[in-house]
Amino acid sequence: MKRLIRFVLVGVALTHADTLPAQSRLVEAFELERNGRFLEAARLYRQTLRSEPTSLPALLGLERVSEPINQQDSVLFFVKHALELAPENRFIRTIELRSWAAADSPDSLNAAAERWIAREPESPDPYREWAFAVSQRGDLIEAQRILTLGTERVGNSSLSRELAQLWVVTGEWIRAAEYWADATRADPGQAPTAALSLARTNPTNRDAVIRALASGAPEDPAQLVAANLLAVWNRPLDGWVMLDRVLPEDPAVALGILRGFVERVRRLRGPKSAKSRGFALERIADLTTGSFSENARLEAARAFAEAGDRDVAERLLSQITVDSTVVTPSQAGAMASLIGVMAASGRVDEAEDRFAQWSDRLLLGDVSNLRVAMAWAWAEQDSLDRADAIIASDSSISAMDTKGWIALFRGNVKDAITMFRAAGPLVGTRQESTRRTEMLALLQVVGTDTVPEIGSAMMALHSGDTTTAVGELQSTASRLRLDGGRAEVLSFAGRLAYESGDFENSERLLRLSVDIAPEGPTAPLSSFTLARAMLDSGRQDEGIERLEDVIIRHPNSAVVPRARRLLDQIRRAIPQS
Amino acid sequence: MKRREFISALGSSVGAAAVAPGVLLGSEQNNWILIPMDNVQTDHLRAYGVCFRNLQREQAAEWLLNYRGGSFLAPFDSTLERDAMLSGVSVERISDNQVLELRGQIQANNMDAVPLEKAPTVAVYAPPNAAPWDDAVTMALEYAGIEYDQIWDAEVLDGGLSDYEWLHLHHEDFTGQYSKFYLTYAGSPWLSEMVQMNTAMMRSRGFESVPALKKAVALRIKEFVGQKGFLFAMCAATETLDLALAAEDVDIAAQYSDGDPMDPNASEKVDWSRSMAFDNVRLEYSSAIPSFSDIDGHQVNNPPVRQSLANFKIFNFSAKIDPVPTMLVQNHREIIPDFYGLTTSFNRERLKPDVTVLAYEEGTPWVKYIHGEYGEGTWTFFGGHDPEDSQHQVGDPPTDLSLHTNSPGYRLILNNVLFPAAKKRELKT
Repeated sequence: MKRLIRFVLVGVALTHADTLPAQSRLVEAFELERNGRFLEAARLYRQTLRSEPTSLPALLGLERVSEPINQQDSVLFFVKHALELAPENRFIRTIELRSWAAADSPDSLNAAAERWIAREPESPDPYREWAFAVSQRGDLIEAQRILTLGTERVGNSSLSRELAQLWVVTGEWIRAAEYWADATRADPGQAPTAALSLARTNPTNRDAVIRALASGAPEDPAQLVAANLLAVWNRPLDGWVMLDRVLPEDPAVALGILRGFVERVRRLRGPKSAKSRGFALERIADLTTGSFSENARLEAARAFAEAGDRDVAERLLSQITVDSTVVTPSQAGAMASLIGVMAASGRVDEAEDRFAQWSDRLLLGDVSNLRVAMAWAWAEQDSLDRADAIIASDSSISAMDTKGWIALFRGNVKDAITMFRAAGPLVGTRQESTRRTEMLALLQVVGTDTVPEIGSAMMALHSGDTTTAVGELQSTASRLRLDGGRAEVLSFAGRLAYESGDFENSERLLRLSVDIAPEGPTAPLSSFTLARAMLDSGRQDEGIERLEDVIIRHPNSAVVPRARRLLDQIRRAIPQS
Repeated sequence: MKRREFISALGSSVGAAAVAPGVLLGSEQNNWILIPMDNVQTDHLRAYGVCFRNLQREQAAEWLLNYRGGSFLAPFDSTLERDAMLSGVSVERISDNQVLELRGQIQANNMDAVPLEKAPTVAVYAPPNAAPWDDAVTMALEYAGIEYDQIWDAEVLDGGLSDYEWLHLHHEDFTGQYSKFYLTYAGSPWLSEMVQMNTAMMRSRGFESVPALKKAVALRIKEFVGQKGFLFAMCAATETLDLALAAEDVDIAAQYSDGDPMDPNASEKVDWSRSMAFDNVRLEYSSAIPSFSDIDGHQVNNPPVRQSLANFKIFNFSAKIDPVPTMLVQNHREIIPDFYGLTTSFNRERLKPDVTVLAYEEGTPWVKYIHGEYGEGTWTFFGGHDPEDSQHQVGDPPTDLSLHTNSPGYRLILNNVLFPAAKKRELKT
C-alpha cells in the first residue's frame, strides 16, 4: 500500500513539473541534481530542452547528470537539435564534443570537431575543446596531435598554453617550457601560471628549461618565467639578475612582478635569498612614493642586514628621515637588524652606541636579543667582563643561558649550573638547547665548583679550536675522580674529536670512557660514537659488532633507535637517505 | 578445485607437541618466547624476519592464528632472543603454565596453532636493473631481513623455478606492453632501458616479440604453481599474468610492442580456462590508455572511469576449518586504508567461482586480496603497489619501512612469506 501511495505521489510531482514554467523547472532540476536524484533531474532538464532547445543551463545540467545514470547518449539528441537552431553557439559545440567523447565514439567526435573547424577556420577554440575532450579519455598523444594541428592551421600561439600543459603532464619539461615561452610572449600575464606549472620540473632538466625560456631577446617576457623559476629553485640571486633585465617599464606592471618575486624569495632561507629580496624591495622603494616607499626601503635595509651586507643596509637607512619621536615598527626592526649585524661583525663598541641611542624605541624582544648578541660578541673577543656587564640587569631566559656560558668560560662550574638551570630547556634552537642540556649533565657529575680547564676548553671550542678543546678536556679528565665525571668528560672529548674527523683520537678517548664506566650514563652514546668512528674508518665488521653491542647491552637507551637505523643503512634494509 | 590440504603432525590442532620445549610441563620457568603481534608489538614487519631466521636455524615455532593478532610462539632460544632485540621486535618470555593457558584459550575460541617447519626458499621475479625500492615485496623482504634470490626471464625459462618454494612477481607486465607506459613516458631513460633489456632477452631466446617471450614466462610460472609452488603477486603482475595465460594464442598486445595491432576480437577469442583467477574479462583495446582490462575496479590511469580510494576490510575466517586463508589475513587491524597500483583491485564479477576473497571493500563491486589453488600449489594476488604510499608514481621517493614498522598492509604481504612454512595437516572438514 505504501509503495502505491509513493508511486501516486511521484506521479503527481511529475505531472506538476510538466506544467511548470521553464525557469522554475530548471530551479527544481538543479535542486534534484544537488540531492543526487539524477534520474528525476534528467527528466526535468529534458522537458526544459523540449520547450527551449538552446537552453545552455539545461544542456549542461543534462550532460552532468547523464554520467551517473549512464545515459550519456541521450545528451546527443538534444545537442544536435540545439545546433540546428544555433549553429554558431560555441558552448553547444563544446558540449557536443564532450558528449561524443563520453559516448566513446572517436569517429563522431572527430567529425563534429571538423564541422566546427569548417565554420570557424580561424578560431583556436575547436582545437582546444577537441583536444580537451580527447585528453579526458586519457589519450594525451592524440590531444597533442590535435593541438599541434590547430597551431599549424590557425598560425599563431593561441594554443601554446594548452600544448605546454600537456607536455607538463607527460613530463616533457623542455618542450613544455618552449610552449610556455610562446604563450607568455603572446600574453605576459601567463607568466605566473607558467612558473607554477614548470616549478615541478625535475632537477636534471632545470637548466635546460631555463635555457628554453631565456633564449629570446633581452626584453622577452618569457624571461620573467625563468626569473621566477630560479627563485623557486633556490637560485634567488640568479633570478633577480634575470628579472632586473626584463622588468617592464610600466610601473604598475613592474610593481606587481616585483611583489610576486619578493613573496617567492621570502619562503627561502639564507643570505642569497635575503639579498635578492633586498634588491627587489629597493626597486619597489624607487618606484613608489611616501610611506610606501619608506617602508619598502626599510624592509630592504633589514633584508640586506639579514644577508650580512651591512654597508648597503646602512646606506638605505641613511636615506630615510627618521622622526625621533615617532618610530614605526618597521623602522625599529630595521635598526635592530643593523645593530645585530654590527655586533656580529665585531664592531661591538659601535653597536653598543647605536643601541644606547635607540633602546627606548626598539621592540622589547629586540632589546633583549640585541643585549645577548652583544654579550656573545664581547665574549668572543675574550672581554668576559663587558659581556657580563651588558646583560647584568637582564633576567630573560636567553640572558640566563648566556650568563651560564660566560660563567663556564671562566671555569665557574657552580654558577654555570645555576644559570643553565634557570634558563631551562626552551632557549635557542634545538641544537643550542641540546648542547646546553648536555653541558649541564656533564657539569653536574664533575662535582667541583671551579675547573678552569673546562672553561678554557669550552672557550676554545666556542672559537672553533676543537683540537685545543679536546686536549684541555682530556687533561681535565685526568685530574677528576673516577666517580667524579672522568668517564663523562672523556666521552665528551671523544665525541668532539669524532665530530672534527679525528677518528683515531676519538676512538682512544671513547674506549677509555667506556672502560672506566661500562654501565655509566654516557656509555651507550660513547659506544655508539665509537661504532661510527670505526665505520667511518672503514672497519665495518667491528662497527656493526659495536652497534649490536649498544642495542643488546643498553636496550632502554635513547641511542638504540639511532643504532638500529645505522645498522639498517649499512645492511641496506632501508632506502639510503 | 580442492583446497590445499594440511596434514596434522599429531592429533591436536593446537600443536601442543609440535615443538620440543625440553622442560617438564607445569614448570614455572620462562621457557618460551612469545612474539606478540597485537598492538604491543613495536615492529610487526621485522617479527616475520625474526621468525623466518629462527626457522632457517631449524628451530621450531608455532603460528598462533587469531591469538593476539597472529602471534608466534617458540621455545626459548638465546639466538632468537638476541635477534629480536637487535631487530627491535618485542618479545615476551613466558612459562609453561602460561603456554598451557594460551593453548586453552586457543582451543576455546576461533583460533588455532599451526606448527612452522621450515623456512621456504624465496625468489623474486624482477628485471636485473630493478632496485629493491621499486617493489613493496622486495622492500618488505629487505626490511625484515628475509633472504631471497632475484631471478628473471632466463632463470624462469631454464627451469630455475624448481629451486624455489615461494615466488613473488615484481610489478611486471606479462602482456609485454611495458605496463602501457610506452606512449605516456616515451623518451624516459628508465623506459628505454626496460625496452632494451626485454628486446635483448627476446632475441637471445629466439622469440618473435616481447609479448611472446612474456607469455612463455607466464606459462612457466603457472607450471611452477601447479607443481606445489606458492605464488604471490601484486599490482599489474596479477592481472597481466592471467591475461597472458588466457591469451596464449591471441594477440592482445598493442602494435608498438609486437609490430602488429591487437586482435580486434581478442576479448571473445581468449580462453579463460587457461587462466588461474579471472574469467570473462573485457580487454582494453586503446594503446594510449594505461589499463589492460576491466579486471581492475579502480582504473587509476583511466580518468573517466577512475575510482577513488577508501578502505578495505579483511575477511574473518574460521581458523580451525580454514587455516590457509586465516594465515594469509593475520593482522592487528581489520580495516586497512586502500592504495593504488596499475591494478588496484579485482572486480568481483571477473573472479572465477572457486577464488577465495581475503579482503574486500564494503559496498563496492571490487575486492582487494584473493587466493586460489592451481594444481598442487596456490597463488595469492594483492591489488595495489605500495600499502604505505597510496598514490605512488614513477620517480617518487622510496618508502622507508622503518617509519612504518606496524604497517597492516605490509603484514598481509609478509603473511604470504611465512605461509609456506606451515606444516601440512588434514583439513577437518
